[in-house]
Amino acid sequence: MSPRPAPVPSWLTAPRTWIMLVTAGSLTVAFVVSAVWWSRSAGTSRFEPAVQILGLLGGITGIVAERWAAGRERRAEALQAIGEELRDNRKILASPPFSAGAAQPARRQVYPRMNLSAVNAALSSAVLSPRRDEALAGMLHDWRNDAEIFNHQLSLAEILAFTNGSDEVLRDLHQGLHSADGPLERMQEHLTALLATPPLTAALAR
Amino acid sequence: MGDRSDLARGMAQMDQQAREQLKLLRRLEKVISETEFSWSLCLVGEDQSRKLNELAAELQRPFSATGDEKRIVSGYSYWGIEPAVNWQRACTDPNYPVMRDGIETFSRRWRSLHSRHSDRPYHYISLGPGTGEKDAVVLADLQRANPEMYYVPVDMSAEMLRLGLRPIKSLPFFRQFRNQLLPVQLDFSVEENVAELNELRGRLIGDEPVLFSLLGNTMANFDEDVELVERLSKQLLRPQDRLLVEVATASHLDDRMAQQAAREYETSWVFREFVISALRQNTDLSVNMNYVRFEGVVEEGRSLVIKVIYCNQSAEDLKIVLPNRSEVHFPSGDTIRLLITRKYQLKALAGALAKAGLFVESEAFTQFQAYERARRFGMDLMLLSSSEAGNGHDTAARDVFRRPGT
Repeated sequence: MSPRPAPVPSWLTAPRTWIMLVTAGSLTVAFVVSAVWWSRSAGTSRFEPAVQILGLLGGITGIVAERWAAGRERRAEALQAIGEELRDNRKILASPPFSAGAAQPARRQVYPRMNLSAVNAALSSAVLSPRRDEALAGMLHDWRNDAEIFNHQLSLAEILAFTNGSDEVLRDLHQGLHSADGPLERMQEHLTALLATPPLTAALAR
Repeated sequence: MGDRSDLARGMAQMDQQAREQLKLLRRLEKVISETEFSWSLCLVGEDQSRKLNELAAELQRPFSATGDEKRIVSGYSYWGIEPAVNWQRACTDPNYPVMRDGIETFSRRWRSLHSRHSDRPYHYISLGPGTGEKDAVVLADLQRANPEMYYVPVDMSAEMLRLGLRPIKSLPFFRQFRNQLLPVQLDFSVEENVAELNELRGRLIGDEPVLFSLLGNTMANFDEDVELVERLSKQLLRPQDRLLVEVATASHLDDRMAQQAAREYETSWVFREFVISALRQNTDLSVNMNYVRFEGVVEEGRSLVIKVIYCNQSAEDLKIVLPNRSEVHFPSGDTIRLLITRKYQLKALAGALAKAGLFVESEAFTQFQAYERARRFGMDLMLLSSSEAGNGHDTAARDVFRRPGT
């Protein structure tokens, strides 16, 4: 039995890659032909290949460099949005009813939730660099996962409190939320670690 | 056959002994109730000579110019008649507002807290009852809900126990209540002692709920303050029990507040007399009152720490003789820490208590006169339960916030 051939990477089969290759290849070949033409011609006939060379150079720069600059800008904007969202989340965790000093609530309540829109948008639109931001993306996935679970726990807690708001239930919910193995400390650790990563520190310093 | 008759004889002897002890206790009870003299029964669980050696060991530590070595550990500051009397005087000194305001406003805090939990019939064990005024306020309410309750004040100083009973004796129900009163002389900062106290509680009170208290910012006088409360709660608090803790608080933690806190203590000459009295009583040091220093420092993110330090500011190297006849070298510039106390940032303290497995069920707070508009000191009374409170079986509410997969 012959060994199965290695699968072709998905980016190779993507139409965008082929379009980019054909465009860049045509422009490069035209650039080389124009350069040869310019070197072989003399007098005023040199103006035509020179103008073509400059036009082609502008086209190549426009495609490659503009894309690079746009990607960079999108990454910076995404990192800033993530940093601000994480800082807001830290503020939410430091204020009632999540703050450590909060005494047991005497009444049932709707809890504030962890915001996840900036993290979700950044992870789904692939604006983070696959190589440079690999560690950060991994941490953001973990954070997102835990924050989703925490938000879900809060929903369950509200349902319990509003359907059976006895003192025992309110006390148990409060103790569970604030206990040493409860979710608050874990969420705070996540946020502190994320906000200390170099990409987010640099983005928030701007 | 012979074995059985020996057993029966042994049982009869034990019965006889128990009957005689009971007879003695009844007679004592009768004598106490028939006389106007202020007799009080007291259980002594403390080995006084061992305590003396511990005190001496703390004073034999090496040189420190900052008050971090030689020290009078909490509890010893109130040990003996002179410190106890001076403490009582300090508590009423108009120049020492910390304690006076604390006592005067306590009933307001307690009533606000008790009104939310008045349905529970507690017994009351007071750890460090102090001058007894606060315990009298608590007892007046608890006795109404549970006339059969026991009151057990616990302190390592017999003199403090006796002083602390004065306000209790003025309660209107005291004559009927005196047989439910059992002062215990014991250092509750020692783990083994707390285990013995727990044993005593079990035999005396059984499964009935107990309210423990640590009032008057007592926890702040211990080097390992939160650890002490954690240990007490782990050893003593069952799900049906509660712990009442009162602490001094500061709205801000900065150097200005720390200096202000130190000045609160420094301005009272009577308080100075009190802190120095442990040194006077237990050493032959010729005390110079001007050598007492009050230092306020910030314990980052947690509290303001106030250290009262005696510093040998003379040019001479001194020798101190301790009660166990050992000599201590007390060179010029050396220090003895006489007292440590704190004012806590409330949020940080509640966080530390939560980590120690204690939850604030409810609290009542009093703010004192402001030195500046937004910077204030205060007193907070917290009713704590252990994380095991209410744990009989797993409930949905308890499971909601459990870590997934555990």
